[in-house]
Amino acid sequence: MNSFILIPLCVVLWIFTLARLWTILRQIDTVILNIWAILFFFAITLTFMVAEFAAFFNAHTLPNLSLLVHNSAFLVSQYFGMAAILAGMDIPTARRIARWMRLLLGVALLVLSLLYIFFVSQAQSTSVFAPGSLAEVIFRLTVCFFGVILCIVLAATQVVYFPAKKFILIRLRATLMLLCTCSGTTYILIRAVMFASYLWPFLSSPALAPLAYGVLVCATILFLSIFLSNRLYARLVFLWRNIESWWAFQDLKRLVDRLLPLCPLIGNIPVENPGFLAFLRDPEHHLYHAVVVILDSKLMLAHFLTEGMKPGTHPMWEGEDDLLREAMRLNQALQAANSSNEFSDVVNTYRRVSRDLFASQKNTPAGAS
Amino acid sequence: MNAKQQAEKILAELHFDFAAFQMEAFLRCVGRAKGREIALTPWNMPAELFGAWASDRDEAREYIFYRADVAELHQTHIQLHELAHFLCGHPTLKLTRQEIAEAAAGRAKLPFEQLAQLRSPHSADLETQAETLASLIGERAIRASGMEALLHDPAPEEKLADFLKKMGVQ
Repeated sequence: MNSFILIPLCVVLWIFTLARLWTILRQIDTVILNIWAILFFFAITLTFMVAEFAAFFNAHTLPNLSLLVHNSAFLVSQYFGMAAILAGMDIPTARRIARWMRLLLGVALLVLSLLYIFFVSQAQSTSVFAPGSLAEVIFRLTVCFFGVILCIVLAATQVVYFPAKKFILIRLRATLMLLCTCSGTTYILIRAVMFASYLWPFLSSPALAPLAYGVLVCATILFLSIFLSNRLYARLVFLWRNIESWWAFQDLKRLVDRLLPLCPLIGNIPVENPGFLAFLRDPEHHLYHAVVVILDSKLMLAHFLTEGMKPGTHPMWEGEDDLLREAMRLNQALQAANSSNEFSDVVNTYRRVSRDLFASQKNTPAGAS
Repeated sequence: MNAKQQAEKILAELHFDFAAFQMEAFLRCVGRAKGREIALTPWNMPAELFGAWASDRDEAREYIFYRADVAELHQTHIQLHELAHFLCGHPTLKLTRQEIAEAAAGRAKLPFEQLAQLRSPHSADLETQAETLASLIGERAIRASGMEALLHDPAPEEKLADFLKKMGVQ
Protein backbone atom coordinates (compact mmCIF):
# COMPACT_ATOMS: atom_id res chain seq x y z
CA MET A 1 0.00 0.00 0.00
CA ASN A 2 2.83 2.33 0.96
CA SER A 3 4.62 2.52 -2.39
CA PHE A 4 1.53 2.19 -4.56
CA ILE A 5 0.06 5.35 -3.07
CA LEU A 6 3.16 7.30 -2.12
CA ILE A 7 5.10 6.99 -5.38
CA PRO A 8 2.41 8.58 -7.61
CA LEU A 9 1.93 11.34 -5.03
CA CYS A 10 5.71 11.92 -4.96
CA VAL A 11 5.86 12.11 -8.74
CA VAL A 12 3.05 14.67 -8.87
CA LEU A 13 4.61 16.68 -6.06
CA TRP A 14 8.05 16.74 -7.71
CA ILE A 15 6.56 17.77 -11.05
CA PHE A 16 4.70 20.54 -9.26
CA THR A 17 7.82 21.62 -7.38
CA LEU A 18 10.12 21.63 -10.39
CA ALA A 19 7.52 23.34 -12.57
CA ARG A 20 7.50 26.19 -10.07
CA LEU A 21 11.27 26.52 -10.08
CA TRP A 22 11.17 28.92 -13.02
CA THR A 23 9.14 31.47 -10.99
CA ILE A 24 12.01 31.66 -8.49
CA LEU A 25 14.57 32.01 -11.23
CA ARG A 26 12.50 34.76 -12.82
CA GLN A 27 11.89 36.76 -9.66
CA ILE A 28 13.86 36.64 -6.42
CA ASP A 29 11.35 37.29 -3.66
CA THR A 30 11.14 36.10 -0.04
CA VAL A 31 7.51 34.99 -0.29
CA ILE A 32 8.04 33.13 -3.57
CA LEU A 33 11.13 31.43 -2.10
CA ASN A 34 9.20 30.44 1.04
CA ILE A 35 6.35 29.03 -1.01
CA TRP A 36 8.71 27.04 -3.17
CA ALA A 37 10.52 25.79 -0.06
CA ILE A 38 7.23 24.38 1.31
CA LEU A 39 6.81 22.36 -1.89
CA PHE A 40 10.44 21.30 -2.01
CA PHE A 41 10.69 20.10 1.59
CA PHE A 42 7.32 18.41 1.48
CA ALA A 43 8.39 16.56 -1.67
CA ILE A 44 11.54 15.40 0.18
CA THR A 45 9.43 14.32 3.17
CA LEU A 46 7.15 12.21 1.03
CA THR A 47 9.99 10.77 -1.06
CA PHE A 48 11.85 9.54 2.01
CA MET A 49 8.66 7.92 3.27
CA VAL A 50 8.75 5.47 0.37
CA ALA A 51 10.18 2.38 2.10
CA GLU A 52 12.17 1.16 -0.91
CA PHE A 53 13.78 4.53 -1.52
CA ALA A 54 14.56 4.99 2.19
CA ALA A 55 16.23 1.55 2.33
CA PHE A 56 18.27 2.32 -0.80
CA PHE A 57 19.31 5.70 0.60
CA ASN A 58 20.29 4.26 3.98
CA ALA A 59 22.28 1.47 2.35
CA HIS A 60 24.33 4.01 0.37
CA THR A 61 24.77 6.66 3.07
CA LEU A 62 24.48 6.30 6.84
CA PRO A 63 22.25 3.93 8.80
CA ASN A 64 18.73 5.31 9.24
CA LEU A 65 19.73 8.67 7.75
CA SER A 66 16.43 8.72 5.78
CA LEU A 67 14.63 8.97 9.12
CA LEU A 68 16.49 12.16 10.01
CA VAL A 69 16.03 13.59 6.52
CA HIS A 70 12.31 12.95 6.20
CA ASN A 71 11.42 14.13 9.69
CA SER A 72 13.57 17.24 9.45
CA ALA A 73 12.18 18.06 6.01
CA PHE A 74 8.66 17.68 7.39
CA LEU A 75 9.30 20.24 10.13
CA VAL A 76 11.10 22.58 7.75
CA SER A 77 8.20 22.50 5.25
CA GLN A 78 5.80 23.39 8.06
CA TYR A 79 8.03 26.28 9.09
CA PHE A 80 8.13 27.62 5.53
CA GLY A 81 4.33 27.33 5.28
CA MET A 82 3.96 29.63 8.22
CA ALA A 83 6.81 31.92 7.13
CA ALA A 84 5.24 32.31 3.66
CA ILE A 85 1.92 33.45 5.10
CA LEU A 86 3.59 35.79 7.58
CA ALA A 87 5.84 37.35 4.95
CA GLY A 88 3.15 37.40 2.29
CA MET A 89 0.59 39.19 4.43
CA ASP A 90 3.25 41.62 5.70
CA ILE A 91 2.00 41.62 9.30
CA PRO A 92 3.84 43.88 11.79
CA THR A 93 4.34 41.07 14.32
CA ALA A 94 5.37 38.62 11.59
CA ARG A 95 9.09 39.07 12.15
CA ARG A 96 8.84 38.38 15.85
CA ILE A 97 6.71 35.26 15.33
CA ALA A 98 8.99 34.07 12.52
CA ARG A 99 12.06 34.58 14.75
CA TRP A 100 10.54 32.49 17.52
CA MET A 101 9.53 29.78 15.10
CA ARG A 102 13.00 29.75 13.53
CA LEU A 103 14.48 29.34 16.99
CA LEU A 104 12.03 26.50 17.74
CA LEU A 105 12.87 24.82 14.46
CA GLY A 106 16.59 25.20 15.16
CA VAL A 107 16.18 23.57 18.58
CA ALA A 108 14.09 20.76 17.08
CA LEU A 109 16.64 20.08 14.34
CA LEU A 110 19.50 20.15 16.86
CA VAL A 111 17.70 17.72 19.18
CA LEU A 112 16.89 15.41 16.27
CA SER A 113 20.48 15.52 15.00
CA LEU A 114 21.86 14.68 18.43
CA LEU A 115 19.37 11.85 18.89
CA TYR A 116 20.29 10.58 15.47
CA ILE A 117 24.06 10.75 16.00
CA PHE A 118 24.06 9.14 19.43
CA PHE A 119 21.20 6.67 19.21
CA VAL A 120 19.19 6.27 16.00
CA SER A 121 22.19 5.78 13.72
CA GLN A 122 23.31 2.93 16.00
CA ALA A 123 19.93 1.21 15.87
CA GLN A 124 18.85 -1.51 13.49
CA SER A 125 16.97 -0.48 10.35
CA THR A 126 13.58 1.06 11.06
CA SER A 127 10.26 1.36 9.30
CA VAL A 128 8.10 4.47 8.93
CA PHE A 129 5.58 3.62 11.64
CA ALA A 130 7.28 0.96 13.78
CA PRO A 131 10.11 2.16 16.01
CA GLY A 132 12.70 -0.44 16.93
CA SER A 133 14.23 1.11 20.03
CA LEU A 134 13.54 3.52 22.85
CA ALA A 135 15.89 6.07 21.28
CA GLU A 136 13.90 5.93 18.11
CA VAL A 137 10.64 6.39 20.05
CA ILE A 138 12.10 9.51 21.69
CA PHE A 139 13.31 10.71 18.29
CA ARG A 140 9.86 10.21 16.72
CA LEU A 141 7.95 11.74 19.63
CA THR A 142 10.28 14.76 19.49
CA VAL A 143 9.29 15.22 15.85
CA CYS A 144 5.61 14.87 16.78
CA PHE A 145 5.94 17.38 19.60
CA PHE A 146 7.58 20.06 17.45
CA GLY A 147 5.36 19.13 14.51
CA VAL A 148 2.17 19.72 16.50
CA ILE A 149 3.48 23.06 17.81
CA LEU A 150 4.30 24.19 14.27
CA CYS A 151 0.91 22.96 13.01
CA ILE A 152 -0.94 24.86 15.74
CA VAL A 153 0.98 28.05 14.98
CA LEU A 154 0.41 27.52 11.25
CA ALA A 155 -3.34 26.98 11.77
CA ALA A 156 -3.56 30.01 14.06
CA THR A 157 -1.71 32.09 11.44
CA GLN A 158 -4.23 31.02 8.82
CA VAL A 159 -7.22 31.69 11.03
CA VAL A 160 -5.93 35.15 11.97
CA TYR A 161 -4.65 36.28 8.58
CA PHE A 162 -7.26 34.69 6.34
CA PRO A 163 -10.34 35.87 8.21
CA ALA A 164 -13.81 35.25 6.78
CA LYS A 165 -13.41 36.72 3.31
CA LYS A 166 -16.56 37.26 1.30
CA PHE A 167 -14.91 36.31 -1.97
CA ILE A 168 -15.71 32.66 -2.43
CA LEU A 169 -12.44 31.55 -4.05
CA ILE A 170 -10.34 33.00 -1.22
CA ARG A 171 -12.70 31.48 1.33
CA LEU A 172 -12.41 28.11 -0.37
CA ARG A 173 -8.60 28.27 -0.59
CA ALA A 174 -8.32 29.37 3.05
CA THR A 175 -10.61 26.49 4.08
CA LEU A 176 -8.49 24.00 2.15
CA MET A 177 -5.31 25.39 3.76
CA LEU A 178 -6.83 25.00 7.19
CA LEU A 179 -8.09 21.49 6.39
CA CYS A 180 -4.62 20.59 5.12
CA THR A 181 -3.03 21.84 8.34
CA CYS A 182 -5.62 20.04 10.46
CA SER A 183 -5.15 16.77 8.59
CA GLY A 184 -1.37 17.23 8.97
CA THR A 185 -1.85 17.66 12.71
CA THR A 186 -4.09 14.58 12.84
CA TYR A 187 -1.45 12.58 10.98
CA ILE A 188 1.21 13.64 13.50
CA LEU A 189 -1.03 12.76 16.44
CA ILE A 190 -1.84 9.32 15.02
CA ARG A 191 1.87 8.72 14.56
CA ALA A 192 2.50 9.88 18.12
CA VAL A 193 0.01 7.29 19.39
CA MET A 194 1.68 4.60 17.27
CA PHE A 195 5.13 5.44 18.59
CA ALA A 196 3.89 5.75 22.15
CA SER A 197 2.52 2.22 21.87
CA TYR A 198 6.15 1.05 22.06
CA LEU A 199 6.10 2.25 25.68
CA TRP A 200 2.41 1.58 26.36
CA PRO A 201 1.33 -1.43 24.30
CA PHE A 202 -2.37 -0.92 25.09
CA LEU A 203 -2.28 2.03 22.65
CA SER A 204 -1.42 -0.19 19.71
CA SER A 205 -4.07 -1.04 17.14
CA PRO A 206 -3.79 -2.57 13.65
CA ALA A 207 -6.13 0.19 12.38
CA LEU A 208 -3.65 2.98 13.16
CA ALA A 209 -1.21 2.44 10.27
CA PRO A 210 -3.84 2.42 7.48
CA LEU A 211 -5.54 5.35 9.19
CA ALA A 212 -2.27 7.29 9.24
CA TYR A 213 -1.70 6.54 5.54
CA GLY A 214 -5.24 7.64 4.70
CA VAL A 215 -4.83 10.92 6.56
CA LEU A 216 -1.41 11.47 4.96
CA VAL A 217 -2.86 10.95 1.48
CA CYS A 218 -5.71 13.36 2.26
CA ALA A 219 -3.26 15.94 3.60
CA THR A 220 -1.07 15.61 0.49
CA ILE A 221 -4.03 15.98 -1.88
CA LEU A 222 -5.26 19.01 0.06
CA PHE A 223 -1.73 20.40 0.02
CA LEU A 224 -1.55 20.06 -3.77
CA SER A 225 -5.03 21.53 -4.22
CA ILE A 226 -3.95 24.71 -2.42
CA PHE A 227 -1.62 25.44 -5.33
CA LEU A 228 -4.18 24.98 -8.10
CA SER A 229 -5.12 28.05 -10.12
CA ASN A 230 -8.07 30.33 -9.40
CA ARG A 231 -9.50 29.50 -12.82
CA LEU A 232 -9.74 25.82 -11.89
CA TYR A 233 -11.28 26.70 -8.53
CA ALA A 234 -13.81 28.91 -10.33
CA ARG A 235 -14.74 26.06 -12.66
CA LEU A 236 -15.26 23.70 -9.74
CA VAL A 237 -17.38 26.24 -7.86
CA PHE A 238 -19.33 26.91 -11.06
CA LEU A 239 -19.95 23.19 -11.51
CA TRP A 240 -21.03 22.88 -7.90
CA ARG A 241 -23.44 25.80 -8.28
CA ASN A 242 -24.87 24.20 -11.41
CA ILE A 243 -25.46 20.99 -9.50
CA GLU A 244 -27.16 22.98 -6.73
CA SER A 245 -29.28 24.88 -9.26
CA TRP A 246 -30.88 21.59 -10.33
CA TRP A 247 -32.99 21.70 -7.16
CA ALA A 248 -33.79 25.37 -7.77
CA PHE A 249 -34.97 24.44 -11.25
CA GLN A 250 -37.21 21.71 -9.85
CA ASP A 251 -38.92 24.29 -7.64
CA LEU A 252 -39.27 26.78 -10.50
CA LYS A 253 -40.60 24.06 -12.79
CA ARG A 254 -43.31 23.22 -10.28
CA LEU A 255 -44.41 26.86 -10.29
CA VAL A 256 -44.25 27.02 -14.10
CA ASP A 257 -46.41 23.89 -14.33
CA ARG A 258 -49.06 25.64 -12.28
CA LEU A 259 -48.86 28.82 -14.36
CA LEU A 260 -49.01 27.21 -17.80
CA PRO A 261 -52.72 26.27 -17.71
CA LEU A 262 -53.49 29.91 -16.86
CA CYS A 263 -51.20 31.94 -19.13
CA PRO A 264 -50.10 31.54 -22.75
CA LEU A 265 -46.38 31.05 -23.45
CA ILE A 266 -44.66 33.91 -25.21
CA GLY A 267 -42.84 32.64 -28.29
CA ASN A 268 -44.47 29.27 -27.69
CA ILE A 269 -41.19 27.81 -26.39
CA PRO A 270 -42.04 25.07 -23.92
CA VAL A 271 -40.24 24.75 -20.59
CA GLU A 272 -38.49 21.42 -20.92
CA ASN A 273 -38.27 18.80 -18.24
CA PRO A 274 -34.62 17.73 -18.60
CA GLY A 275 -32.97 14.90 -16.72
CA PHE A 276 -30.16 15.77 -14.30
CA LEU A 277 -27.33 15.34 -16.85
CA ALA A 278 -29.22 17.15 -19.62
CA PHE A 279 -29.82 20.01 -17.19
CA LEU A 280 -26.11 20.17 -16.27
CA ARG A 281 -25.18 20.58 -19.94
CA ASP A 282 -27.00 23.94 -20.07
CA PRO A 283 -28.36 24.97 -16.65
CA GLU A 284 -28.57 28.68 -17.53
CA HIS A 285 -30.90 27.92 -20.43
CA HIS A 286 -33.37 25.99 -18.29
CA LEU A 287 -33.24 28.39 -15.34
CA TYR A 288 -33.45 31.53 -17.45
CA HIS A 289 -36.35 30.26 -19.50
CA ALA A 290 -38.27 29.18 -16.39
CA VAL A 291 -37.67 32.59 -14.77
CA VAL A 292 -38.82 34.44 -17.90
CA VAL A 293 -42.00 32.34 -18.11
CA ILE A 294 -42.71 33.12 -14.44
CA LEU A 295 -42.10 36.87 -14.91
CA ASP A 296 -44.25 36.94 -18.07
CA SER A 297 -47.01 35.02 -16.31
CA LYS A 298 -46.82 37.34 -13.31
CA LEU A 299 -47.53 40.30 -15.59
CA MET A 300 -50.22 38.49 -17.58
CA LEU A 301 -52.04 37.19 -14.50
CA ALA A 302 -52.13 40.67 -13.00
CA HIS A 303 -53.50 41.99 -16.28
CA PHE A 304 -56.09 39.22 -16.65
CA LEU A 305 -57.33 39.67 -13.10
CA THR A 306 -57.37 43.45 -12.86
CA GLU A 307 -58.46 44.70 -16.28
CA GLY A 308 -61.86 45.86 -15.09
CA MET A 309 -62.90 42.32 -14.25
CA LYS A 310 -64.46 41.19 -11.04
CA PRO A 311 -63.49 37.82 -9.63
CA GLY A 312 -65.79 35.18 -10.89
CA THR A 313 -66.74 37.03 -14.04
CA HIS A 314 -63.48 36.78 -15.98
CA PRO A 315 -64.01 35.52 -19.53
CA MET A 316 -60.63 33.72 -19.50
CA TRP A 317 -61.91 31.28 -16.92
CA GLU A 318 -65.68 31.63 -17.22
CA GLY A 319 -67.34 28.71 -15.52
CA GLU A 320 -63.94 27.47 -14.35
CA ASP A 321 -64.04 28.43 -10.69
CA ASP A 322 -61.07 26.27 -9.78
CA LEU A 323 -58.87 27.91 -12.42
CA LEU A 324 -59.94 31.37 -11.35
CA ARG A 325 -59.18 30.58 -7.72
CA GLU A 326 -55.79 29.15 -8.71
CA ALA A 327 -55.09 32.28 -10.79
CA MET A 328 -55.92 34.52 -7.86
CA ARG A 329 -53.82 32.45 -5.47
CA LEU A 330 -50.79 32.47 -7.79
CA ASN A 331 -51.23 36.16 -8.62
CA GLN A 332 -51.23 37.04 -4.93
CA ALA A 333 -48.09 35.03 -4.27
CA LEU A 334 -46.26 36.38 -7.34
CA GLN A 335 -47.15 40.03 -6.73
CA ALA A 336 -45.84 39.74 -3.17
CA ALA A 337 -42.46 38.50 -4.42
CA ASN A 338 -39.74 41.09 -4.84
CA SER A 339 -36.12 40.54 -5.69
CA SER A 340 -33.05 42.47 -6.76
CA ASN A 341 -31.86 42.47 -10.36
CA GLU A 342 -29.32 39.74 -9.50
CA PHE A 343 -30.27 36.61 -11.40
CA SER A 344 -29.49 34.28 -8.51
CA ASP A 345 -31.67 36.42 -6.23
CA VAL A 346 -34.55 36.28 -8.72
CA VAL A 347 -34.20 32.49 -8.90
CA ASN A 348 -34.16 32.20 -5.11
CA THR A 349 -37.15 34.52 -4.70
CA TYR A 350 -39.42 32.55 -7.06
CA ARG A 351 -38.07 29.32 -5.70
CA ARG A 352 -39.36 30.41 -2.31
CA VAL A 353 -42.71 31.39 -3.84
CA SER A 354 -42.98 27.94 -5.39
CA ARG A 355 -42.13 26.20 -2.13
CA ASP A 356 -44.54 28.34 -0.12
CA LEU A 357 -47.34 27.64 -2.61
CA PHE A 358 -46.57 23.95 -2.52
CA ALA A 359 -46.48 23.95 1.29
CA SER A 360 -49.78 25.85 1.57
CA GLN A 361 -51.34 23.46 -0.97
CA LYS A 362 -50.24 20.50 1.13
CA ASN A 363 -51.62 22.12 4.28
CA THR A 364 -55.00 22.92 2.70
CA PRO A 365 -57.53 20.16 3.38
CA ALA A 366 -58.98 18.52 0.26
CA GLY A 367 -62.08 20.34 -0.96
CA ALA A 368 -61.21 23.56 0.86
CA SER A 369 -60.64 26.71 -1.17
CA MET B 1 -32.41 26.34 -40.05
CA ASN B 2 -34.38 26.22 -36.81
CA ALA B 3 -34.86 29.15 -34.41
CA LYS B 4 -31.98 28.05 -32.14
CA GLN B 5 -29.49 27.68 -35.00
CA GLN B 6 -30.59 31.01 -36.44
CA ALA B 7 -30.15 32.69 -33.04
CA GLU B 8 -26.66 31.19 -32.63
CA LYS B 9 -25.66 32.36 -36.10
CA ILE B 10 -26.85 35.92 -35.42
CA LEU B 11 -24.96 36.02 -32.12
CA ALA B 12 -21.80 34.58 -33.64
CA GLU B 13 -21.82 37.34 -36.27
CA LEU B 14 -21.95 40.00 -33.54
CA HIS B 15 -18.65 38.82 -31.92
CA PHE B 16 -19.82 40.20 -28.59
CA ASP B 17 -17.90 39.40 -25.40
CA PHE B 18 -20.56 38.43 -22.87
CA ALA B 19 -18.25 38.67 -19.85
CA ALA B 20 -19.73 41.31 -17.50
CA PHE B 21 -22.71 41.85 -19.82
CA GLN B 22 -24.11 45.37 -19.85
CA MET B 23 -27.17 46.24 -21.93
CA GLU B 24 -25.66 49.56 -23.08
CA ALA B 25 -22.51 47.83 -24.36
CA PHE B 26 -24.59 45.21 -26.15
CA LEU B 27 -26.74 47.88 -27.79
CA ARG B 28 -23.61 49.72 -28.93
CA CYS B 29 -22.27 46.49 -30.40
CA VAL B 30 -25.55 45.78 -32.25
CA GLY B 31 -25.74 49.41 -33.39
CA ARG B 32 -22.21 49.27 -34.79
CA ALA B 33 -22.88 45.97 -36.57
CA LYS B 34 -26.13 47.17 -38.12
CA GLY B 35 -25.20 50.84 -38.68
CA ARG B 36 -28.19 52.00 -36.59
CA GLU B 37 -28.49 53.82 -33.30
CA ILE B 38 -30.68 51.93 -30.82
CA ALA B 39 -32.73 53.91 -28.34
CA LEU B 40 -34.29 52.25 -25.30
CA THR B 41 -37.53 54.04 -24.52
CA PRO B 42 -39.59 53.24 -21.42
CA TRP B 43 -43.23 53.50 -22.46
CA ASN B 44 -46.67 53.21 -20.99
CA MET B 45 -47.48 50.12 -23.05
CA PRO B 46 -51.01 48.88 -23.74
CA ALA B 47 -51.93 46.15 -21.25
CA GLU B 48 -51.57 43.28 -23.72
CA LEU B 49 -48.06 44.36 -24.83
CA PHE B 50 -44.78 44.01 -22.94
CA GLY B 51 -42.67 45.88 -25.47
CA ALA B 52 -42.43 46.93 -29.08
CA TRP B 53 -39.81 47.81 -31.63
CA ALA B 54 -40.14 50.51 -34.28
CA SER B 55 -37.78 51.90 -36.92
CA ASP B 56 -37.23 55.57 -37.49
CA ARG B 57 -38.63 56.47 -40.87
CA ASP B 58 -36.10 59.27 -41.48
CA GLU B 59 -32.97 58.54 -39.46
CA ALA B 60 -30.73 55.54 -38.82
CA ARG B 61 -32.37 54.81 -35.49
CA GLU B 62 -34.35 51.97 -33.90
CA TYR B 63 -36.67 52.47 -30.96
CA ILE B 64 -37.17 49.78 -28.35
CA PHE B 65 -40.27 50.55 -26.28
CA TYR B 66 -40.67 48.61 -23.08
CA ARG B 67 -42.68 48.53 -19.89
CA ALA B 68 -40.79 50.04 -16.98
CA ASP B 69 -43.29 48.90 -14.34
CA VAL B 70 -41.83 45.39 -14.06
CA ALA B 71 -38.73 43.87 -12.39
CA GLU B 72 -35.41 44.98 -13.88
CA LEU B 73 -34.57 41.50 -15.12
CA HIS B 74 -37.92 41.33 -16.86
CA GLN B 75 -37.36 44.77 -18.41
CA THR B 76 -34.03 43.55 -19.74
CA HIS B 77 -35.63 40.46 -21.22
CA ILE B 78 -38.39 42.52 -22.87
CA GLN B 79 -35.73 44.82 -24.35
CA LEU B 80 -33.79 41.79 -25.60
CA HIS B 81 -36.93 40.29 -27.12
CA GLU B 82 -37.66 43.46 -29.09
CA LEU B 83 -34.02 43.82 -30.06
CA ALA B 84 -34.14 40.21 -31.25
CA HIS B 85 -37.00 41.10 -33.63
CA PHE B 86 -34.69 43.77 -35.07
CA LEU B 87 -31.70 41.41 -35.30
CA CYS B 88 -33.85 38.76 -36.99
CA GLY B 89 -34.95 41.34 -39.57
CA HIS B 90 -38.67 41.01 -38.84
CA PRO B 91 -41.16 43.53 -40.28
CA THR B 92 -42.03 46.42 -37.97
CA LEU B 93 -43.56 49.87 -37.62
CA LYS B 94 -41.96 52.91 -39.22
CA LEU B 95 -42.29 56.02 -37.11
CA THR B 96 -40.96 59.55 -37.20
CA ARG B 97 -39.42 61.33 -34.28
CA GLN B 98 -42.32 63.77 -34.47
CA GLU B 99 -44.88 60.97 -34.04
CA ILE B 100 -43.04 59.68 -31.00
CA ALA B 101 -42.82 63.17 -29.50
CA GLU B 102 -46.56 63.67 -30.06
CA ALA B 103 -47.31 60.33 -28.39
CA ALA B 104 -44.96 61.08 -25.50
CA ALA B 105 -46.77 64.36 -24.95
CA GLY B 106 -50.08 62.48 -24.84
CA ARG B 107 -51.48 64.12 -27.99
CA ALA B 108 -51.46 60.90 -30.02
CA LYS B 109 -51.07 57.16 -29.67
CA LEU B 110 -48.43 54.97 -31.25
CA PRO B 111 -50.02 52.48 -33.64
CA PHE B 112 -48.84 49.34 -31.81
CA GLU B 113 -51.96 47.46 -32.91
CA GLN B 114 -50.53 47.46 -36.46
CA LEU B 115 -47.67 45.21 -35.34
CA ALA B 116 -49.89 42.13 -35.31
CA GLN B 117 -51.05 42.82 -38.89
CA LEU B 118 -47.50 43.49 -40.08
CA ARG B 119 -46.25 40.15 -38.77
CA SER B 120 -49.22 37.96 -39.65
CA PRO B 121 -49.60 35.22 -40.80
CA HIS B 122 -46.16 34.20 -39.45
CA SER B 123 -46.61 35.95 -36.13
CA ALA B 124 -46.12 32.79 -34.04
CA ASP B 125 -42.91 31.83 -35.87
CA LEU B 126 -41.51 35.34 -35.60
CA GLU B 127 -42.27 35.41 -31.87
CA THR B 128 -40.53 32.05 -31.44
CA GLN B 129 -37.46 33.32 -33.29
CA ALA B 130 -37.31 36.53 -31.23
CA GLU B 131 -37.87 34.75 -27.93
CA THR B 132 -35.24 32.13 -28.75
CA LEU B 133 -32.65 34.77 -29.59
CA ALA B 134 -33.53 36.89 -26.54
CA SER B 135 -33.25 33.84 -24.29
CA LEU B 136 -29.90 32.85 -25.81
CA ILE B 137 -28.51 36.33 -25.16
CA GLY B 138 -29.82 36.25 -21.59
CA GLU B 139 -28.40 32.79 -20.93
CA ARG B 140 -24.96 33.70 -22.28
CA ALA B 141 -24.90 36.90 -20.25
CA ILE B 142 -25.77 34.98 -17.08
CA ARG B 143 -23.21 32.25 -17.74
CA ALA B 144 -20.38 34.66 -18.57
CA SER B 145 -21.11 37.08 -15.76
CA GLY B 146 -21.42 34.17 -13.32
CA MET B 147 -17.91 32.98 -14.20
CA GLU B 148 -16.60 36.55 -14.23
CA ALA B 149 -18.03 37.19 -10.76
CA LEU B 150 -16.28 34.06 -9.52
CA LEU B 151 -12.91 35.10 -10.90
CA HIS B 152 -12.85 38.72 -9.77
CA ASP B 153 -12.94 39.73 -6.15
CA PRO B 154 -15.29 42.75 -5.90
CA ALA B 155 -13.31 44.10 -2.93
CA PRO B 156 -9.76 42.86 -3.44
CA GLU B 157 -7.12 43.28 -0.76
CA GLU B 158 -3.79 44.28 -2.17
CA LYS B 159 -1.67 42.13 0.16
CA LEU B 160 -3.81 39.06 -0.27
CA ALA B 161 -3.98 39.47 -4.04
CA ASP B 162 -0.20 39.86 -4.14
CA PHE B 163 0.27 36.79 -1.94
CA LEU B 164 -1.98 34.68 -4.18
CA LYS B 165 -0.10 35.95 -7.22
CA LYS B 166 3.16 34.86 -5.63
CA MET B 167 1.59 31.49 -4.88
CA GLY B 168 1.11 31.28 -8.63
CA VAL B 169 -2.64 30.74 -8.44
CA GLN B 170 -3.93 33.98 -9.97
